[in-house]
Amino acid sequence: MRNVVVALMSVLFCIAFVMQVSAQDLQAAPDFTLRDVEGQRVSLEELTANGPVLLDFWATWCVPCKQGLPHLAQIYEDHKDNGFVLAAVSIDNQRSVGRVRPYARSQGWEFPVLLDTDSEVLRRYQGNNVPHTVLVNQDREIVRVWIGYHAGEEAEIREEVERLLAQGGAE
Amino acid sequence: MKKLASVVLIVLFAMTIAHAGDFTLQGNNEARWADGLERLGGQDHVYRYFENRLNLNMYYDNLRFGMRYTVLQPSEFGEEVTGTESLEKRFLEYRGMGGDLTVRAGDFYTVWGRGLTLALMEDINQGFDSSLDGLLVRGRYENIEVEALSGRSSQGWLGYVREAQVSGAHIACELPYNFTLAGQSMLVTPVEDVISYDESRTWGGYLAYQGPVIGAHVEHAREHIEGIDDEHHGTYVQFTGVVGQLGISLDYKNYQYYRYSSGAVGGDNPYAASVDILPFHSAPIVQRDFTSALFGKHPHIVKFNDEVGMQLELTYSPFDWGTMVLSLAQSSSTIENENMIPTLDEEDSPYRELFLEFQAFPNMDLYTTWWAGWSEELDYYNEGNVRTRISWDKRAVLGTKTEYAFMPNWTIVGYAEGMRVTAVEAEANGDDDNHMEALFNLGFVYLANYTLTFSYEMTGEENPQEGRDSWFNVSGRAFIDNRHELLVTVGQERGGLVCTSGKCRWVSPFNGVKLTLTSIF
Repeated sequence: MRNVVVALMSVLFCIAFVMQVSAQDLQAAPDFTLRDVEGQRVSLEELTANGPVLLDFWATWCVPCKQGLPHLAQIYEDHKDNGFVLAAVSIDNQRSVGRVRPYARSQGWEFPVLLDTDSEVLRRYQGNNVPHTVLVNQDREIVRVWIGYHAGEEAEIREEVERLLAQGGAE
Repeated sequence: MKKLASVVLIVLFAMTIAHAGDFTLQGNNEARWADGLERLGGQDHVYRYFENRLNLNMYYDNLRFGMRYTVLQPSEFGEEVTGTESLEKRFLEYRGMGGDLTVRAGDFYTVWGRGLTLALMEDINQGFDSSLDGLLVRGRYENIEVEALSGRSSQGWLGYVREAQVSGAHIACELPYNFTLAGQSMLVTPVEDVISYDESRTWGGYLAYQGPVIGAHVEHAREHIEGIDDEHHGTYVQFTGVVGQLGISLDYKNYQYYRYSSGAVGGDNPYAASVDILPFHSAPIVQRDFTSALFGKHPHIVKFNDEVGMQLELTYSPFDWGTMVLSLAQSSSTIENENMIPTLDEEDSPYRELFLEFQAFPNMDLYTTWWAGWSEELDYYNEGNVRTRISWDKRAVLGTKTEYAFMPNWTIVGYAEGMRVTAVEAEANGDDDNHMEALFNLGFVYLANYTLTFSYEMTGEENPQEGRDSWFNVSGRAFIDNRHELLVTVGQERGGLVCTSGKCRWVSPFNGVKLTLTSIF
């Protein structure tokens, strides 16, 4: 029992320390360069060149991901002319990565579909599971994170995107 | 040694950032707790666990220091982790030349091609971890990408740990006309005085093409095990294509890898399922990885040492508001009759699977998905010189999940699934088992941040091993301050097999309270 208390205390201390440090400002979005389904290399810098980007980590085997993505695609359609970019980052590993392109193309998606086959970028964005959605402003700072997909969430995401666009893409 | 290396890495990073007033610290934490009863071996036992995993990433310029602090006291299904073992992962990474150079010291994962030669990965839900602790260098110059690695593995799965030194290199070259050619080599050297691997060498490579309409990937790996003359190898081929709104993928596998483990893979661990594990390579399973809650509890477990198979998957989106997916998979053993394509011959242990899914968004307030699946599996083994059937299972499933926003800020979620199970016993034993299984969920979601779900599951199986024939639980979820997700489940859970990428573990039936708190900083 004593060990559990010590472990819990040390974990809480670490959390408190990290929250204290991280609560000061918007955090910088970790940089990355990934290949898209066409084999082209795409960086975060390129994605945020004209405005905010919504990184949606997903996988072909993830049912909630495929439920949420059509809603995000609609937000992209409505605001792509304002500089907003949706990037669907697939964490399909070597076992299923070959299915990403057929799926994405069959959906008619026009936004970038990136491949993070070893989930390294997901881990950089503090994600353990998918879907994991991160809104990054034009200054490459993390504005907001959504864990999982839950009905009605798309309304919140749309609101945040429109708020950010109204402010000119940066906070 | 690992502790010393951790201290050195932390000191190096601290010295680097000591001169900088500006660095970024990010992290996440997941705490899991449960208290109740589980059913194992036909009896109820007190079951409590507390697990906490804190991941931290610190960035300064091109440097990144990462660590994971893990406390499992006790663990949900594996060994306890406390004290000095808690600093489970740590690494220092440098990225330079615009991302074209990566040097990482400490724990790392990587995948070459489709993983036939090397795939280092972690699956926390399965307790599987094949990371290496050493040095990884990855560089890219124009059309050539090179990766070299060397490190110590304490590869573990549910407490069954074996140690080895792993070294290898991978080179990939982008050729004209969208072709890519790659070659790989890996050496696994056993560590003395522990239960370990045999020394093995693996060579492999792939040729890939990605055009505007079609794509192809052909990969092959061969392994030589010291002291064993038999040939061991794996082959994977995939063709993909897109025609209008139709996406097509056709996969083929022929796996005859060396069988490192069999039977009680997890030693004495009661949660271990009998699964062949590929320690450092992890080839595509060439069947649908996720089907549905009930169907997925009875997966075909891929025999990586003796299996040939094919899968066709079609994705069709005829409308903006709907998508259909059809998956057909078939596999059988390959070595006994030297089959190059899967057969339906009973003694080749055939497996067949058909899964059809339809997903639709008729309007902004309604989402619905329907699925139907069917599978049949016969399993034979050699008893002396005679092939003997040990099981013959057939399953058919039908299900739906529908969400409807019935008023502003409120959504109702319904899930219903029924499955017919037919287990044809070995002829010597006689009786067949035909029964139905069903799962129902009803959930209410408020503002996407708060969810309350009622779940009921039942089985018509006579004398189920879980000790009961129905299970009911209530779960709640709250997403707090955009950073913290709290999940609470109270009641009974049936459990069963949980499988990812061909690896499975047993989740025991549970009655009690479970709590999970996930935070992102």
